[in-house]
Amino acid sequence: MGKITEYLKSAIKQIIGNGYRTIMTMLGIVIGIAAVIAVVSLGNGMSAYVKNSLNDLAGNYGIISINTAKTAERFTRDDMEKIEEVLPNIKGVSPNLSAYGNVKGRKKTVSTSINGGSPALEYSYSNGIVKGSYFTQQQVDSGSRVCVMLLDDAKELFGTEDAIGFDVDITVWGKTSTYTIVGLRDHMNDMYQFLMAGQDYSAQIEVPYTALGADYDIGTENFEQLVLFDEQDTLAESVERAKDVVANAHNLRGSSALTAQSMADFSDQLDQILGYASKFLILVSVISLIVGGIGVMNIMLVSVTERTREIGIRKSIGASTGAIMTQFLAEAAILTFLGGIVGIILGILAAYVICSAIGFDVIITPTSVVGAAVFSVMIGLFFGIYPARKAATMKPIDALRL
Amino acid sequence: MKKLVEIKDVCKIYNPGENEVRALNHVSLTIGEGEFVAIIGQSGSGKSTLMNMLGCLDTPTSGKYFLHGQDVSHMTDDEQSDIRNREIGFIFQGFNLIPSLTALENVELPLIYRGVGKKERDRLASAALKSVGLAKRMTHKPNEMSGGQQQRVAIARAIAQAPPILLADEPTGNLDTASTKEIITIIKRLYHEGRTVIIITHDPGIASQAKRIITISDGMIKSDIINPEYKDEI
Repeated sequence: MGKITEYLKSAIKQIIGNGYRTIMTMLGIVIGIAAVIAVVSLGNGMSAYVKNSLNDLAGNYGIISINTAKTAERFTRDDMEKIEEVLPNIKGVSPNLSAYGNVKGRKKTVSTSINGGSPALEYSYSNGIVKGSYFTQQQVDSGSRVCVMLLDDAKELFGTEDAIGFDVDITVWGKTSTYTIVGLRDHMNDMYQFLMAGQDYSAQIEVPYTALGADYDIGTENFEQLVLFDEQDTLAESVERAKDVVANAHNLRGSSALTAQSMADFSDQLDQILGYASKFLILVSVISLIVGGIGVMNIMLVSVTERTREIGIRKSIGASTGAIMTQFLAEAAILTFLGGIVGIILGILAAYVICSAIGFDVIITPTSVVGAAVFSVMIGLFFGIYPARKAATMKPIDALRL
Repeated sequence: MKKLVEIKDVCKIYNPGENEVRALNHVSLTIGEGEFVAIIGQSGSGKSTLMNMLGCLDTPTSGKYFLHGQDVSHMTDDEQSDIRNREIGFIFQGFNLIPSLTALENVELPLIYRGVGKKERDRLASAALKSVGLAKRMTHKPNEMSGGQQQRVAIARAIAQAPPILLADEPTGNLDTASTKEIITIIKRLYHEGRTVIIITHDPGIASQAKRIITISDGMIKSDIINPEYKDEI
C-alpha cells in the first residue's frame, strides 16, 4: 500500500514537472468531453424548444374524421353531445368548418381564414383571450354573428388593439356578412412568426359554426370532422374513446371509415426525429472523445520513448514490472481524470453560452456528465496500458543503452 | 573466504547465426565476500557484458550464475529486479541519475522499491549522502551539480540500502583527475567498511588500485592475479 502511494506521488510529480506535455495531452480529452456535454445539452435544448413551441402553437387536440368515400354516415350534433356525456372531463368537442375570404375593417381589408366551431374551439390555440371573451354556447345556438381574432389582426384592421365591439365585414365566396368582435387572442409565439414569415398577412378569425353555416351555405347538421380538446396526457386515450362512441352511434365498429389522430401521435413522431438528430450529434462528439483518447495514447507512447533511460535506471535499481506499470498507468489516469474535470467545466460553460445565445433552455443531464467523465478515465486507462506495458517489460540493459 | 559470486562456463552470444558475436566465451569466475576486484579489458573485450551478467541486467546464453549459492541466471524479470534491489549497488559511468528528482529523492529511489517507510528512507538516504560528503546538496537536482558530485550521489544511491556487492562500471570514465581521485577514495573506503567491490575499467591506473586484477580479452579471461602493487591504505 505504501509503495502504491509512492508510485502515485511520482506520477503526480511527473505530471506537474512536464507542464507543457500535460496540457497538450489533456487538450484532446478536454475538448472531447466538453463537446459531448455541450452537444448533448444543445440537443436536449433543441428538442425541448421545438416541442414546447409546437405544443404552444397547436394546442392539444385530436381529430376524428369520417371517410366520405366509404360511408354515407356523417357526424351530427348528437354525436358531440354523446361524446361530452361519456367523457365529461375533456375540454370540449367542436365541428371543424373552415372558409377563406377577405375581412374589412375601418382601416383596411386583408385576406383571412375563418374557422367555425363550438366554444371549445377556444382551446385550438394556446394563446388565450386577453381582451373580451370567447363566444358562448348560447351565441352558437342562436347563430350570433360574433367573432374572435388576434390582437395583431385588430391592429391591422383598425390600427388599435382596443377593438372589442367593433364590426368587421367578412366576405366569402361573394357573400358578405357583418360580425362583431367579442374577443381578442394574445400574439402568436416565435414559432408561428417563423412559419408565417414571408407570407401575405392573413387574419385568423373564429366564429360560431352556426353563423358561418348560415351565412355562407355550409351545412351545420352534418360534419366530416370533429375536433376534441383535452389535456396532453389524456388526449390520446380520450380521442380513442370518442372514436368508439361515434362508431357505436353510426354502426361503424371495425370499419375503416373512421380515423382518429391526436397531437400525441404527432409528438411521438417528432420525438423520434429529434431523437435521431440527438443520436447523430452524440455520435459525432463520441468520435471526438475517441480521437482525444488516441492523442493521449500517442503522448504516452512518446513519453515512454523519451523516458526509456529513466525506466532503465529505475529497473536497474530494483523497480518491478508492476511498479513501472503502476506509475505510467497512474499518470495516464490522473491526466485523463483532470482533463475530464476541466472538460466538464468547459462543457457546461459552453452549453450555457451556446444555449443562452440561441435562446434554448440549458438542460444538462447528469448522465452525460458522469458518462463523459467515466469514459475519459476509461480511455486514459485503456490507452495508458499499451505504452505502460511496453515500458515496463523492457529489459533494463536495453533501456539503459539508449 | 565465502563464495559470493560464482560464474560457471558462461557464454553470451549476440546475433546467433553466421555473424554471431561471442561477447563471453565459456567464462568461469569466483569472487569471494569482501574482495576488491578490478576487471580490466579493452573496449569490445566483453567486460561490459560480464558486468551486465554480474549485475543481473542481462541473462547468459548458456552457463550459470550463482549469487550467494542461488542460481540467478534464469530468474524471471521481477525476481531479477528484486535481486538487483537487495544485493547489488550500481555505479555507472554516466551516473544514471533521474534528472527530475533531487539528490535525496534519487538516493531514496531503491528504498522506495524495497518498500522502506518514509521516515526510515529519509534517514538512510541522508546518512548515505553525508557519507559521500554531500550533506549540503540534498535538495539539488543532478543538473545543478558537477560530474564528481553527481557520481557521489550515484554512490550514495548504491550504498543507501547497504547491498553486499558494489558494481562500478567505469565509475571515473566521465570525470576529471581531481574528481577521479575523490571517487576512488570513496570506493576504497567502502571496501574497507566490508563491502565487496567490483570495478570494471579499461584504465590500468584505476585497476592498479584494486587488490585482485582480472584481465579479459576476446570474451575470455586472460589473467587473474593478486595485485603486487596494492597498498592497503586510503
